[in-house]
Amino acid sequence: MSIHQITEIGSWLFLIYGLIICTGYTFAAIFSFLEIRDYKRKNNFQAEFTLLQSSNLPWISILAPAYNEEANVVENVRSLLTLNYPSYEIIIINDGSKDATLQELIKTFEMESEDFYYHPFIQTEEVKGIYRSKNDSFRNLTVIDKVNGGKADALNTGINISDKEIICCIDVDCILESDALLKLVKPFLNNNKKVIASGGIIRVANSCIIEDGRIIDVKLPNTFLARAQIIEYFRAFLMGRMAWSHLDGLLLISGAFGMFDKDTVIEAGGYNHNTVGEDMELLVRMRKIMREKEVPYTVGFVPNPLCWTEVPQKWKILHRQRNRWTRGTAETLWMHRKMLFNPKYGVLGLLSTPYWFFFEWLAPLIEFVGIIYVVLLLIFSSLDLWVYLIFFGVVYSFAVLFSITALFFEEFSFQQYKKPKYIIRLLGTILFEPLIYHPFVMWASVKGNWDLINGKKSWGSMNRTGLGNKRKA
Amino acid sequence: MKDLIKNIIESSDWILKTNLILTGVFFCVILGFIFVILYLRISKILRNQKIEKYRNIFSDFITRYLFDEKEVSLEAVQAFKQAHIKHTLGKRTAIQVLLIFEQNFNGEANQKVKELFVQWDLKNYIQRDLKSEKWYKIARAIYIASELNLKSLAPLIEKHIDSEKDELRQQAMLYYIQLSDNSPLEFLGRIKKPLTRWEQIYIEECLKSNYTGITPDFSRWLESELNSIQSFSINMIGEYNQFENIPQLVPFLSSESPELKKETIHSLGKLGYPDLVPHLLKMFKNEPPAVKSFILKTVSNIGAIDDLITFEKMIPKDDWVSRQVYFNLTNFREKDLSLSSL
Repeated sequence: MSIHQITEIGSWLFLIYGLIICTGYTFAAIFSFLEIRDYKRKNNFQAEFTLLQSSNLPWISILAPAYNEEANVVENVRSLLTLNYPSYEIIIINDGSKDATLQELIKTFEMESEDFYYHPFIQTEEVKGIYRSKNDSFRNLTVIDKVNGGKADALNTGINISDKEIICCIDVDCILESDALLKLVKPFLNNNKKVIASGGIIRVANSCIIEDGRIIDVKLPNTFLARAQIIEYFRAFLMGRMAWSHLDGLLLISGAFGMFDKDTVIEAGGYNHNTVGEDMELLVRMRKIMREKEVPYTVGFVPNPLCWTEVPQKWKILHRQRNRWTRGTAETLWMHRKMLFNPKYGVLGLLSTPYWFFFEWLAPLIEFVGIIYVVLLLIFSSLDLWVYLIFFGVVYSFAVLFSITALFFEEFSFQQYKKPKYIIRLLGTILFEPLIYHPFVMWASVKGNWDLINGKKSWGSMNRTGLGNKRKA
Repeated sequence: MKDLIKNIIESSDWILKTNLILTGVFFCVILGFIFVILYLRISKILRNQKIEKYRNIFSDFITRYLFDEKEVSLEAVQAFKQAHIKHTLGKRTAIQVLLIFEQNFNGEANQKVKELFVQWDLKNYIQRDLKSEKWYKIARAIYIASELNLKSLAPLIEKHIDSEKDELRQQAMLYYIQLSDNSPLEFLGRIKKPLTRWEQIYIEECLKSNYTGITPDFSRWLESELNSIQSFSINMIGEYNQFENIPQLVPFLSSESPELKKETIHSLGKLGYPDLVPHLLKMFKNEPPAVKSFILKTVSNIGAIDDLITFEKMIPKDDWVSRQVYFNLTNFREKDLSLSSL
């Protein structure tokens, strides 16, 4: 086979792959549009807050693992204590912090150790103590102190301790909207099928003004990196997950904020310690079990911006995060490879898992191979500049179009960035994102796969700048 | 650039041509989207300003209409309507402002708000929406009709009481509760699709907040074919302290549905049914862990602490769920006792 023939075949393969991606994204955009429009229509006339007086809303356990969070944990817990929902408890799981996280909580919330009964429905590291407050104002707060075992282990401990039917797993440093619990519990209550989980849209809190643990003014971050992630979150949530929700094929509910049916979680065996993508893996396992048991079920998704989180502001931290996400995806797909293309699992087997395999896990690798291919052509002087420019043009214009569509959905739906100058800046970010941000994220994914092959299992530290400095009070 | 175009036109490679065309199409769509996004942004800003202006004008007029010593004439009302309530935005904003006034004032002022609604010809607007083919317009119209007690629209709303569209059905149910004089839950006999728990909570809230007639006898629906309606009725019997219905609730303690059983235990506990604990003691052994835990919590809630200890002996050794619940309940109780003794 001559070089020319190999080049020809390579070009065709890239073209076919690109076409499939474009088609998939176009359908995603259509489904998302339908889903968002439907949601807006359902929720634009009657306020739901009157229901907050009801004593019939189910109890919810909020589970928040904390590891070395002494700087912000008190303020974060205060914010959780003011959520607008009539019946919830907060369980903070101190996962063997090396700093004064536990002491800060004990001191501020007047906690005292109490006898406890702990049965490991899911196996976890040892629980050292359980603390409850002497003060009635914090009656719904429980702190668990345990030996360090990672986020999955901490959440499993919280699941074992909770005796409520619904659990809400969150990152302790995220900021929830005051009505977030009511909105997220709605799919559980307003469905004739069994709902095993529900998730919401995660928004970027960097640069926003925060008062008493609530976002009071949404501002656009000054750094390109944070803005690029805003665009990425628009694409992921407003297009990706909305579309999958429309097809009932969601495979991931963000670890930052998700609600689950506790019995199903325990039946599935809880969060898996052996993967760094424990949030995705859990949902896939829960869905798999329900499917195998042939129980009609669904997963809810709420497009309201309910949870705000800080995204990495440094390239190095972003690299670590994306490296971990890639390893998590690859591990989950490998663990559940039986589902791939398996009609027994319906949408999950025929659409969701193949999508994640080809377009989430494989796409960065193919892109990387594409870049190497172009470099080789350049080295061997086989690169036709015109051909290259034309291919580049179509890929770049599609990437921009995809992001612009996501921005349109944001404008069409919730319009969190209200000032016109924000829109202009986001448009500018969209133009540069495929050239600067995207290659970097691709490289982090490639590196993630390399690290996975080399047996890397750690999370890597996620140092955050902290939202506290922007809090007004 | 000229070279590029010439190169492509002269090239026989259709892939290149297709790609170039696609690039052009994508850029055109991008420009289109940018235009739409900016248009949406600017139009929403202008629209919000307009709405704000309308709100102020309507609020001023309604305040004058309700509270001025000198009565506002019918001509003035019509003139105002001609000037400001011509287009959809004006009508929608007028309805929103009227709803706010309606919710905030009772008695004569409330009645006058409803009069104004009719005088501004907004009832026809709602009626048109009710006849629309679009479910979301109908649902919104029903919501407004129920807030403003528009009884004459009932024939148009009736057919939606068991609609396939949940939102439509919910609004229709709330309409009937709000406007009913004596039989707010008649529709329960007509629905075929199970009530979701969300709908049950809405119905309960609407009954408690908006319905002022005679409290219905909830036992009427205990024989419903739908478990969800039975469950709702059992719950309401407890909520409304209908002690006379206790005998009809007791058989549900042996229901095959764990949900109905739990609801019955909850309601009988709330009603202070004296034989509840003996019943629970009898049934406890054969129940699944979820019901066992629920029984323990109910016994603790009704304050039968000595009985709770009796239950402990009946918890199987391997029923960790119930053991954990039992431990927490007794632990809390001890803590409460020690606090109260201080």
